[in-house]
Amino acid sequence: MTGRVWFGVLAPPLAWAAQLVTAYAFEEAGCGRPDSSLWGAGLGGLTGIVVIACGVLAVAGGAASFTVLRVARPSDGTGLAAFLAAWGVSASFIFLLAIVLTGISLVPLDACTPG
Amino acid sequence: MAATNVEQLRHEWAEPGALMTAVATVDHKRIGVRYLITATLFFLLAGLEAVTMRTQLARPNERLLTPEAYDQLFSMHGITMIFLFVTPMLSGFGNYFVPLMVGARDMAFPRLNALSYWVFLASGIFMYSGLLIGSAPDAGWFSYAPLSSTSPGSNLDFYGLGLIFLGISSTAGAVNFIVTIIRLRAPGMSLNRMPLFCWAILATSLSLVFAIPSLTADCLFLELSRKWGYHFFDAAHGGDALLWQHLFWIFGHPDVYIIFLPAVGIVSTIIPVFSRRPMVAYHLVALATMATAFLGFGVWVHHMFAVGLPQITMTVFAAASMVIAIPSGIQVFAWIATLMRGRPVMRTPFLFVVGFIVTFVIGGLSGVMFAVIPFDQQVTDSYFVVAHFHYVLFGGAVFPILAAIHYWLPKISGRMLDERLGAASFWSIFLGFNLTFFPMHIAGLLGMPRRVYTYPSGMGWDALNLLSTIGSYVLAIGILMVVVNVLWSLVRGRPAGNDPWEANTLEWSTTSPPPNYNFATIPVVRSPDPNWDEPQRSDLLLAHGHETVATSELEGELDGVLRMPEESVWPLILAVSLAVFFVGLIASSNTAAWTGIGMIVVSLAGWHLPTARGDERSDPPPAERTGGWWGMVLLIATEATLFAVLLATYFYLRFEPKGAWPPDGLRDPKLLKPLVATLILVASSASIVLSTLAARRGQLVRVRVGLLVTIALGVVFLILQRQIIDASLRAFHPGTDAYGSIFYTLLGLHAAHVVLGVLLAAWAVLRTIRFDRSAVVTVRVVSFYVHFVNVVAAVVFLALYVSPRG
Repeated sequence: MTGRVWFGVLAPPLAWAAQLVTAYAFEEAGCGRPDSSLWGAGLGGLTGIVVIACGVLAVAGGAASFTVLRVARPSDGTGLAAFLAAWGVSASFIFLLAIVLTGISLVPLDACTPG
Repeated sequence: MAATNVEQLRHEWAEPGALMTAVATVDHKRIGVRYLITATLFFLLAGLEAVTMRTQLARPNERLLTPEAYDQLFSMHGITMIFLFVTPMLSGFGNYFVPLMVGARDMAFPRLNALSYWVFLASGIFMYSGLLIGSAPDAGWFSYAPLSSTSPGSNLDFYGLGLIFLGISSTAGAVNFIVTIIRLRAPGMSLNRMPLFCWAILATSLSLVFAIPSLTADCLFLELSRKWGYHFFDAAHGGDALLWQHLFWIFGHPDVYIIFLPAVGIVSTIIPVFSRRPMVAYHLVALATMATAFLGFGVWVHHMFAVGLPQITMTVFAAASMVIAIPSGIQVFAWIATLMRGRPVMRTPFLFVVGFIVTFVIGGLSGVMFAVIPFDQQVTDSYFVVAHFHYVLFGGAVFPILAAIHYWLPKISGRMLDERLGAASFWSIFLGFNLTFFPMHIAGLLGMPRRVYTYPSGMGWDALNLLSTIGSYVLAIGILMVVVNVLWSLVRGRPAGNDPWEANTLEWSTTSPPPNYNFATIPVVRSPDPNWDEPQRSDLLLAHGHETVATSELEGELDGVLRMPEESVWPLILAVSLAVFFVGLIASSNTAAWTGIGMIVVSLAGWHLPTARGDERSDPPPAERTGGWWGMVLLIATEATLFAVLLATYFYLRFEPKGAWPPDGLRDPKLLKPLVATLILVASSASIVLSTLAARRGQLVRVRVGLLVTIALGVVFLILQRQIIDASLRAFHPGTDAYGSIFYTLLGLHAAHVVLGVLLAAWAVLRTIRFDRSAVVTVRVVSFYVHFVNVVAAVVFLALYVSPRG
C-alpha cells in the first residue's frame, strides 16, 4: 500500500478529530479568561482558522484517494487498493460535512455564551 | 482428506477430562458458549428487575417497592443490561464465530480469552453481591457525581470497583479480537473480503480499547474520592462535578456503538443469507461501521446539553451528533437495497432482523431529535429519554441478538429451533416491546420524569403506564418462549446439518457443531462470500501440531504457522486472585488486598511456566509484527489513552475559572529533582535500544547488560520519585484540594507503570535463558513498553512542573 492510499483513508477522520478536540480545548481554555481570548486573539477567529485548515486536510485526503481510485481496479490482486481508495473518497465526504456543519455555527454564535 | 490426518487432528486438539476442561479450557467455542449462557442469565435477572419495576409503576401511588429498593433495581437493571448482558453476549457470539468466520482454529491469545471470561463472571458476581446484602449501586447506571462521590454505604463502591474489574475483561477481550482479526485470517482473506460481522467486531474492539480507559479513570477518581477523600468532583475544593459526566460519556457514548455495532454486524450477516444475494455496497457498509465507531467518540457532549455549557461547544457536538446519522443511514439503505434486489426468505432469524430495522429506525429518528438542543433540553431526564434509548438499545441490540440465537444456534448445537414457536416468540416480543416503550415517548412529553419510584394520579400518566406494564408482561412471555424454544431444540430439535441456511460465510463450511480444530484444512478465500464460491482445495492441513496459520494484516497472505497454547488453569486462578484483590478493596481490608496482589504475581508466574505441548511462547513466525507485537501495541494504546485522560483532567481542572493554579498558599513544585529523575528514566530508553539491537545480532551478554541497566535506571527513578512525593506531602496532600488529587494520582499511576516496566524487563532477562527467536521478540516487545513509560514520564513532567501556571 502506498502512502497516498493511507493518507486518503486516514486524513479525513483525523482532520475532523483534530478540529473537534482543538475547538473544545480553545473553548475550555479561553472561556475561563476575562477577555475570552487566547494569545491575544478572539476564540471565534482562532476556531475558524482551525476549521478551514482541517477542512482543507479532509479535502486533500479525498483528492489523494480519488487519484488512486482512477487507476486502481477491483480486479487488481485482491482489490484492496481500490477498496481503500473508495473508502477514502467516501470518508472525505462524511468528515468534511462534519467539519462544515461545525464551522457554520461559528458565524452566528458567540463562543462563550452559555447555551 | 486422508482419515489418518483427521485422526491426527483429533489427537492434537483432544481435550483433557471433563473436570480439567471445565476449569482449564481455552477453546474459543467453549468460552463463547460460556459467555452466551452467563450473559443470558444476567439478562433474565435484568428482565426480572424490569418487570418488578413495571409492576410498581402500573398504578399511581403503588407501594410494592420502597424508594431505596426501586433505586437499586433501576440501577442494577441498567448496569446489567449495558455491562453484563449486551456486551458480553455479543462477545460470546464473537468468541464463537470470529475464528470460524476468518478460518482460524482459535483466538490469537486463547489463555487471555479464558481470563476475559473468568474476569467477566467474577466481576458480575462481585456487583450482584451488593444486591444480595442490600447495598447494590443505587445512583443509576451512570451514577453522576457528586451524588455518587458523597453517598454513604458501599453501594457505589460496588459500582466503581466492579466496573474497573470488568474493564480488565473488556480490554483483554478487545485486544484478543483485534489481533485475531488482523493476524489469523485465512489465506486470501484480504481486508476487503472480510465478513461484515468481523468488521463490526473490529470496530467495536477498537472502540473498547480507547473508551474503557476513560471509564476506568472516572471510577478510579470516584473510589479515590469516596475512600481517601480526594476532591476531583468537589467544587468547594477546586474540583468539578461535570468532570464525572465528561469522562463517563467519553466512554458512554462510544459504548452505545460498542453495543450497537456488533448487532449491526449480525444484521449485515443475516440479510444477505435470507435475501439470497451478496450485500449491496459492501465497502460502504464496512466504512460506515468504522466511521460510526470513530464519530462515536465525538458526540459525548450531547448527553450534557442541559448542564449549561457554552453554546459553541454544544453546537459543535450537535453537528457531530447529526453527522453520525449518515453512516447509520448508509447501513439501513444498504440492507433495504439488498432485500429489494434479493428474494427474501421469511424464517425466524429474518423476522427478528426486520423487527430490528423497524425499531432501530424509530430509535434513530428520536436520536436525531436529541441533537436539536432546545428539544433535548425540554425532554432531558424525562421518560422520552427512556423510550428513545430502549428503542436504540433493546431494539438495536436485543432484536439482533435474538436473530443471532435463531441463526447460529444450529451451528453451535447441531439442532434447529422450532419455526412456529420462533415466529410466535417474535410477535410476542415485537408487540410487547412496542407496547412497553412507545407510550413512554408520550409520558415523557407530558412531563413524567424518569427514575421516580411512583407518581400521583391525575397527571395524565396513568393509562400510559398501565399500557407499558402490560406490554412488559407480553415482552417477558415472548422472551420465555425463546428460552423454551432453545431448551426444546437442544433435546428434540431437528438435526441442522452443516449449512441449513445455505449461507455465505466460512463457519457454515464445517460441521455442526464444529470439531475442536474447526477446519480439517485451513480454507482459502477469494471473495467476501467464500461459502458461495466454487470450493477451492487447500493443502494447509497443519495436522501435526496444535497449530493455526498467521497471515499478513492487509492482504491476508500466508505469513507462517502459529503453535497454539494448551489448556491452563492459570487464567481461572488469576481471575480469582483479582477477585480477592477487589474484595479486599471494597472491604477496606489491606490484608485481603495485599493477599490478592501476591496471588496475582504467583498466577502470572505460573501462567508463563513452560508446558508440555508448547505454548504462546513458542517460536513466532518470521513476520515483523507478531501477535505479541500487536498485543503490546494495543496495550500501550489503551494505557496511553488512560494517561491522556488523566492529563486532560489536569488541564480541565487547571483551566476552570476558580483562581490560581497551584491554589493560593502553595508554591510551584521544585524543578530540579523531578528533572533529574525524569532524565534518568528516559536514559533507560537508550539501554533498552542497545539491548534490542544486541538481541537481533544474537549478542546474549549485551542483551542482558542492556536489560539490567534498564532495570537499574527504573529502580533509581522510583527511589527519587518516592523522595519527591514525600517532600511534596509535607506541603500538600491529595485531600488538600483538586490540584493535590490530580498531582498525586498522576505521579502514583506513572510510578506503578514504571514498576510494571521494571518487572517486564526482569521477565525478559529470564526469557533469555533459552535464547531463541521468541526471546528476541520478547526483548523487542518489552522495549516498546519501556519507551512508552518513558515518554509518559516526560509528558507528566512537562505538565506538572513546566506547563503555564496561573
